[in-house]
Amino acid sequence: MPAPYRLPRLALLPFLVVLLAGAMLLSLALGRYPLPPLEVADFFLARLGLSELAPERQALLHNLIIDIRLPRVLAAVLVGAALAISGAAFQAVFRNPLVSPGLLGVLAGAASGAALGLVFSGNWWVMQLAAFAMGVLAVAIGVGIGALFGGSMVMLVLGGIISGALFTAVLSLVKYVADPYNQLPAIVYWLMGSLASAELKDVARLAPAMLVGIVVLGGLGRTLDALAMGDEEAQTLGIPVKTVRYAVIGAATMISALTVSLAGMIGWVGLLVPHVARLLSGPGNARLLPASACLGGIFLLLADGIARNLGSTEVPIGIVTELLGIPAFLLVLHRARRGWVG
Amino acid sequence: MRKILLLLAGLCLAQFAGAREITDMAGRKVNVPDKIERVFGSAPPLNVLLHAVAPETMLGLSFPVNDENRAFFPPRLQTLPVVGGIFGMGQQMNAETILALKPDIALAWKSPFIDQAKIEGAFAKIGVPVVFIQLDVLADWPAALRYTGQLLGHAKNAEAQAQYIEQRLAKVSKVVTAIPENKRVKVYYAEGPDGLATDCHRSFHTEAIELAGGYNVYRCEPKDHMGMERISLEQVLAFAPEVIVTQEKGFAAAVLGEPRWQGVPAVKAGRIYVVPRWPHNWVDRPPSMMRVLGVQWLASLFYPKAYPLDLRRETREFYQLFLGTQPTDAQLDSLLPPVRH
Repeated sequence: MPAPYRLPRLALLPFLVVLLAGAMLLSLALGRYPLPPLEVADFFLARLGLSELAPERQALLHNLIIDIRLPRVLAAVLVGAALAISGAAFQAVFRNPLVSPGLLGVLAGAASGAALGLVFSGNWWVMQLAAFAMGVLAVAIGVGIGALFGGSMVMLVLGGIISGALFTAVLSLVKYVADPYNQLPAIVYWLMGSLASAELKDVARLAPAMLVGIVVLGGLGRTLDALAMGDEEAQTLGIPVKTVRYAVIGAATMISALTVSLAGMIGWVGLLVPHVARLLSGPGNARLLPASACLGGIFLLLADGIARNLGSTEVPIGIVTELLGIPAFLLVLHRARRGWVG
Repeated sequence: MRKILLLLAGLCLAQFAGAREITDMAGRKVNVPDKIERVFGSAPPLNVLLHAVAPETMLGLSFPVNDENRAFFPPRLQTLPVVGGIFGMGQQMNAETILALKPDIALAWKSPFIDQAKIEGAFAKIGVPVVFIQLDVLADWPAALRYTGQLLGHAKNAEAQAQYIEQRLAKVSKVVTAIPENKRVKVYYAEGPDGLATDCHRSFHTEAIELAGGYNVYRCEPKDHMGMERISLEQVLAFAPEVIVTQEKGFAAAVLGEPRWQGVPAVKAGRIYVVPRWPHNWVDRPPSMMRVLGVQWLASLFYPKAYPLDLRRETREFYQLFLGTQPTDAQLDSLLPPVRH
């Protein structure tokens, strides 16, 4: 299928990278604190020793831009890219344009882990760790059930459904025993997703693993293209089909679980962004995966910008992605419905 | 046949023997037994009310009590089962469990946010007379205490408690009203593990802060009963609060070393106050008469010169009068960590 908005082949990715960088700079300049965007430029010039700022103003700007806005911007890009590329890779592996990274239960697992951590310790660290561990565990159980019944694609999906249901039940149980006055609302907000708690040290701690996962998935693009022809054809080309499939599942699971650790539950990105990317890049995974990552970052920056700039109350970002995502998705469906052959 | 009829008649009489009709605080007529010895409080604030007025009638608690908190309860209440309640969140009561406790009456929370008919229906099903008590704002508590005291035969003690509340609130209000609005301390109420949830100044959740003369920086009408509205750190920074009041020990400990929060004046000055929570919360969640102590505590923190307070003495007196316990020195230390003004 020809991509309707195709840019010249070589120009697309650099264009998206520039767009992403621009979106990041813009996000750094905007916020609830009344601050002229040009002062942000001043701040960076002063850091480089090219202009003068009063030390007091410098400290305030440092606090605003480096401590408060920068972690959010970085987290938005990482989480958006991770979810989008996981979604695109899953859609390729399962040969189904309607799957999202949560297919094998990773998000349900991570959510129940975060809730457990919140109720039984309240410590931020423990919460993040529990979210990651339970996300991985949920997928392991899903894949295990699938493998037990022959490891076919259908069985994997069924295993994921069972595992997701199990961990959703665990989450409900945790909600039930939580203290209704303090813990329950905190869990509910966590599940709506938010980048508000991201700190530089969190981002620094989780970024390497996320980047590794994103790069691994990005590098598997050509292999996934070969896989798209069907298992047997790919096997004759010498591609270890099962290994590739589990590698994608492993990498996507790791980074999706980490997104929950960092920002709670953010839906739609992994389902929607790959479709938008496909309109720009065409169906080839070698270009689609990196394009999805860039667009995911841009999309989440936009959503977070709305979440934190709209009013004095912060809108949970999961709600924003849903509200933005649904009309965008309908548009994509309308444009692309002829182009999908499973 | 006649025997059976007689027996039935006898049963009916027995049913109404020693019953009286009362009017509850929602204006409903309720038939209750003459002697009320077993009472079920169907929501957290009502358990606090029962703890204050007639702890010996309590059958269960509506929320789990953790180990840290357990020692703050009188011995009898420490052993009560957790049976939940009707408040639309958390642990729902089980009708059969409640029936097995054989309550004479149940107390329910009369609130604009709570569906009265639903609660009536639930208790009608198990045949327990339900009495509604109005407890929306702190000013409702003296009346609620007197009413419950009358009902359960503890009028004298309840009267002393009601008078304590009225007298202390008047004392704080006298000091606070003299402070002009532009001189009031700007307060941010930090909730949630990350301190980025808060409640409007018009919400019942933050009533204690307003009564203590704090200027809650988050000015709005509450959207719902639950509250805990999310707010971004930049918004907090823009509000520039001089004091942070929080429910979360972990947050208070972490925030001082957090670079992101350093631009907030309250953090720079180290004025972060953790609300004492045991056995019942002093400020909110559940909202109760504990707020009288909370208001005095906050007023003394906001305006140490205008409202000096011997907090430990006041706390001892309050716990003795309302909760029937004598907190030890160690317990007071854990409740009231040293603070910076």
